[in-house]
Amino acid sequence: MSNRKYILLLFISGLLCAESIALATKVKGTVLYKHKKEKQLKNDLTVGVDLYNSDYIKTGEDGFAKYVYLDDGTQIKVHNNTEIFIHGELSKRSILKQLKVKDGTVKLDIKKQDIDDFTVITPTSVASVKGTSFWIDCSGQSGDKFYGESGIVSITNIASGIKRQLAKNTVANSLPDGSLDVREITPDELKMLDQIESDTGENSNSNDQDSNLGDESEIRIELEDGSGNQKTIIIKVK
Amino acid sequence: MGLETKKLLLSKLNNLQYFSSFMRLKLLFPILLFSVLISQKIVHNPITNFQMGESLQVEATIIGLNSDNQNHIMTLFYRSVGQETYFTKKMKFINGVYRYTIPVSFLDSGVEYFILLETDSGGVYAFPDQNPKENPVFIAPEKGNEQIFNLQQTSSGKLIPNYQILSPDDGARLLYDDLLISLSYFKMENLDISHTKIIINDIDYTSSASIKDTHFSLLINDRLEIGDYQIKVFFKSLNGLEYEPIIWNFKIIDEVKESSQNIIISKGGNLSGNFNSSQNDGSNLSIGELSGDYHIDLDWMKIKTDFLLSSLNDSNEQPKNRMLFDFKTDFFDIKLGDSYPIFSEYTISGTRLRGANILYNNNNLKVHFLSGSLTKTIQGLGNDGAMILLENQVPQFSSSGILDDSDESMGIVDLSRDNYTFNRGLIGLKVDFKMGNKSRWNLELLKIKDKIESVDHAVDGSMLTLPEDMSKHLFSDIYVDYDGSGSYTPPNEYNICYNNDGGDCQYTEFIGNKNEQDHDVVGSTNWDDISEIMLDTSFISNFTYSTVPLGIYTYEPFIDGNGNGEYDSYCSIDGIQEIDQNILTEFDCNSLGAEYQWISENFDDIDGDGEWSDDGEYDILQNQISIDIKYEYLDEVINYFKQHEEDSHGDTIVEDITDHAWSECTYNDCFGDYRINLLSSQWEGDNPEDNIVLSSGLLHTFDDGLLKIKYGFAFSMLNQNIWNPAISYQSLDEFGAENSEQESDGLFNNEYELDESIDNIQKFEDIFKTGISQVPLIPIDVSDGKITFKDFLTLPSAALYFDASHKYFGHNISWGFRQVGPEFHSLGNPYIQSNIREQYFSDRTYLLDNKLNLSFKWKRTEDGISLTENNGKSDKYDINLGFFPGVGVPTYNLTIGIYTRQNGVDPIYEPLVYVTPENDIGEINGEVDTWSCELQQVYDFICTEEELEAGEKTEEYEILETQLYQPEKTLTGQFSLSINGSFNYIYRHNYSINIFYSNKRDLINISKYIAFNNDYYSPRSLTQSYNFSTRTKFSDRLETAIITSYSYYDYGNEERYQTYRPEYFQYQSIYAIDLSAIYDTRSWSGKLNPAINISLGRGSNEFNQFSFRGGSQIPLINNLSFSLNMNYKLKFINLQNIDHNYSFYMNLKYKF
Repeated sequence: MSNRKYILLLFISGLLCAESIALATKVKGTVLYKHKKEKQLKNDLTVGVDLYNSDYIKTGEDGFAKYVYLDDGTQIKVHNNTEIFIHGELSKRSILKQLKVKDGTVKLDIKKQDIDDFTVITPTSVASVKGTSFWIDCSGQSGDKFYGESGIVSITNIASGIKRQLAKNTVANSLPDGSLDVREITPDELKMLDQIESDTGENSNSNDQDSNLGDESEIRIELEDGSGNQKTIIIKVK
Repeated sequence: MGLETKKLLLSKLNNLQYFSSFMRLKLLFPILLFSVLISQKIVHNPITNFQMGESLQVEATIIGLNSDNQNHIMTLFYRSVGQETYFTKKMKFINGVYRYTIPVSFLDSGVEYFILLETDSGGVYAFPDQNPKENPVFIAPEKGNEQIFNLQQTSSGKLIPNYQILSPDDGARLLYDDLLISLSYFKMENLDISHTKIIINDIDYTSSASIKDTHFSLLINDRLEIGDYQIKVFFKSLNGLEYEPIIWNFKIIDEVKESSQNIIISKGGNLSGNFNSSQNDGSNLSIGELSGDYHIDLDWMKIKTDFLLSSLNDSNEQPKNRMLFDFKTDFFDIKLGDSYPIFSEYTISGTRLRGANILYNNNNLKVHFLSGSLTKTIQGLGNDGAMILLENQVPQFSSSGILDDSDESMGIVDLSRDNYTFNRGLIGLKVDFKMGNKSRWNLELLKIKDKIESVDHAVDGSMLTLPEDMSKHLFSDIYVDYDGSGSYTPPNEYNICYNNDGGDCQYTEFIGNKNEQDHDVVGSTNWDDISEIMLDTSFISNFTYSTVPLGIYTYEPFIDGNGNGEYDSYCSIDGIQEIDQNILTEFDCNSLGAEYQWISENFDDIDGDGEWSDDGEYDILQNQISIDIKYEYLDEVINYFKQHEEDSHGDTIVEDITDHAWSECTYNDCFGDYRINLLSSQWEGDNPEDNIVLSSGLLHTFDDGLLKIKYGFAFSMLNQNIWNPAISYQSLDEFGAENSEQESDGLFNNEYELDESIDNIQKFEDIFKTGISQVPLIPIDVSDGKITFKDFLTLPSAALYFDASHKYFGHNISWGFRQVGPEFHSLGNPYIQSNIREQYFSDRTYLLDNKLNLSFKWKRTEDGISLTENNGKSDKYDINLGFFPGVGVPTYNLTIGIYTRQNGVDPIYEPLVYVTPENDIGEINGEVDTWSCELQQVYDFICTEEELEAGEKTEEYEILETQLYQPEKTLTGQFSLSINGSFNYIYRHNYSINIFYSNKRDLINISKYIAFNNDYYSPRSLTQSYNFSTRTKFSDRLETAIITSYSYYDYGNEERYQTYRPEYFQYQSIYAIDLSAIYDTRSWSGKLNPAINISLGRGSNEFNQFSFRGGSQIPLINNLSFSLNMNYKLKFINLQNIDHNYSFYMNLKYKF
């Protein structure tokens, strides 16, 4: 076998071995989708479609999509007018996950990661998460807002390298000028997030489902070291 | 392999990894080809599985190099699956092949390995060559044995699946249009997906599902009806073994109905009942409790309720039951019932409040309001001392025995209350403002006051014991129990003693008519026993006769012929006991003539020694009666005794018209009359209190929270008895007065001038009830006539604090001080330590990528807040090192503490002597002076003969008692080490090693001090503790634990200082071993946890104790579980006595 053929064989086998990393579990309204192999956006993302590394999703004005990762059930809700790239690499029967948000609003409910942090990248910021739930409101090149719902998210402003911790009920505002401020969330913002969930029919369902998960609850112990790094110990109680 | 070699290899390995990453990114295909075809140096046939129970041989050879060169080093790196680090072993070169055999003991589950070759020329090669550390070769156990060794099986032999439900969530309620059924088995290996079955409500939907290697998804085309559904998924492994079915539920709901039901987002709760019974050292305790909670989440409000019902709840004690309703919205948190509010440690901090606890919170303003009671009213039990009868005034009879009805002569009894608890009301308010972006200010107000009116003045059915003065008219005369019979023995029954004149005793135990007239309390010259009154049981609940010892008597009885109060002899004339007191001796008496006779006083020879003795020990007794009545019948009882008195002493009590000798009523057998005074204040029980606390603080946050400063103060006023008069010009004037003039001299405590405007303070009585029992009486020290800043710093009823914390350069530093005055009181936090000043500094930092945690703490605590006096202080230095190298490596925690303590009292090694003024010669200076005897005349003192010989006199002195001023000066060294880790050896083991050592040394010169103070108790102590525990996990079903420990402590004076008080030294050592296991039966028996503990105690308490524990957690049905635990202890004390102690606990819990 010539070298050229050998390389080709390896390449093809690599493609054949591509495994899905997530599954679309809810799709509403206009949701454009592109598999990495395809060259055109199609409005064909439906419930039950497998999602692969480097897939692209864009929701329209009335669009909403929800997908879950196959290894741990980490759940991503892509709200309207949002563009994302899904990235995931298989490693030891786990998925190293990354989400690129170009624009829009995304709610992340991230389960405790086995091997590495879940990374969220926007044009302005990089967020690193072990396991928590939070919101991203990405305004493209104009900066991001992160809303903490539980646990700790480590956010870095790409321009300045400033790093901050996003805790529960706080908001991080990361701007292209390099600033990254963290403040307490306002009641209006809480209502706004609640409203976004309600508009997609997620609020009541998710809460209901959470409650019906029933016999498991979490104790979160937030620790902060001398450098301001925060870590969370999550104790699941059954 | 040497350490250096290992480091070098790993370094090169890391280079390989780096290089590998680089290759992947930039030169993937060319390098991949190169690595496959050219650079491969290690020839190895990867092993894919191994046989359980057998060792595993790994072999490798080399190509492209001089394969016979034995200077190459081939190393095998291997580890168990899940382990972070690798074991390393140098492979042996035998006949051109490198070999190493992994021992069978290591092969309990999957193994990962890679091989590293270091050539003699410095080259490093690996197999696998691509990032071998992260991509090792995986070897699974041989499938043929899987069924035998696979511990992931249920009792039914089915495998346990590792799955992730993707959609819908278990218990979800959703519309049909949103229904997607999907389950991920991403982490399951060896799954034969061709045998997958998906059943929904007993209908097989497998054919409709898209089943893939890692998950399946199912969209149901036929519309499902509204209702409940259950999904069951069945899997099989490649070797045909079945997995436990995966089951979950969902509900299809109606869109229209759902919108209306959305009012309730979620709801649920728990109900739990438990019973605990125990016997410990003879005391039994059984407790039953029922607790539960229920929550409803309405979108805009969360409602939660908790309750606890305890069998210990008693209406006559503070409640053990708890009930709470909690209503929470975005801005309000309203708690009604039992809650535990926290303002700060200076006001209220976790004390139970029954009432309203309301918090309003937004970013800029927090308002916290409290209203309710800290204690509920307890009236007390009538049969347990709720009321008591106190003697106020004894009836005063005139010399004729007549009692008039004036206040001066009437008896008075006070009816008081006891064993009650006031309702302690509380009102609190805390306001917290945000001031700009960097500061917050808070103000706390707390008012706590006992509600006097909450406790009744009388409790029906209260049992009262009549004071002695009300029943002593029924008592007997007092007698001396010479024969030790415990009761009065009449003379005719007393045949032991003899009169010294040869006759029998005439009067023996009753000596009221001999030499002790006080014993004749009833009023006649004869013996009078206790009254034979027939008590009317219709209003007298109980009466008890008893013989009461009143003291010890040493004399034998005698007739005091000469009336001088002593047993002696005297001179009589003509046998008549007419005494000539001037004749003092028998000779003088006899020499006067025949009519004079020297007579010894007559006595009863109790002990039979032929002479009068005064060295006996005989009980003085009286027959008494104790009478209990109900509070309601007190009037009747008084009238009854009055009537009895009339019956005893005459028909009517009319002066001069009675045959009764009223003079008898000057004795004890008259009752008289009593007036009842029902007290409305100053009861015997707790005094009502009033407390007000004001606190305020500021918090500044700078540099994004890296620097925080907070400081504040608190001030309290406490009136410890609001029944006492309020503060006024008059009450202060009378304070400290020693006579009527000082009561109106206009001076407080006879020293400080009072201003009449002080009466204005009474306008604020509703805010705080002032009084002479309040602390502080005067908030600030004005004794020097001026108020200085120092006076503010040492306000006795104030607390101050300052705290700074900053996080710079990797150091988390905190420092500050805190001071609580001796008279600072908050009834909302009665546990706050007062009269202390604390200063502290702490620093915590992390090194080695947060793996090494270092902290240092210093804290000084002074036993007082004085700025000038030596308060006594403790200094504590603590250094802590925590080392957490990483996953799979033991963690270490080391703490070293050095503590010093001194109580501000210097040891006194010599007696403190002083001279009283009357013994002080010359100028009174209190010191022991020596004076020349030549100055006797000058200073009016007398030298003894010895002093005259010596020529000088030393003043007489006394030694000052110093027992109450024991010095304390100690140095404590403390050390503790804790190591925790785990390792795999056949099974998974976790271990823990703990060592603790503390040595408290006494720095007083004991040998010198104890010679002066024999009772000195040294505070020294020594404590050692060693503990080793290991926990082994055999499978998901079986775990065992072994804990061994040894502890030793001793305290008190060391052996060389035990001359005077050897009992002060005590020591104790305890050896213990504890064996326990947890076994999941996966059946109705649940999780069993048997255990045994053996403890051997030596020293002050010698015992051997054997404990047997056991129990189980049993899941009965869905959401209903039952747990049971028992503990039985058999304790042999001093190898003789046996104690049987046990405890039993069971719990039934339901979740809905």
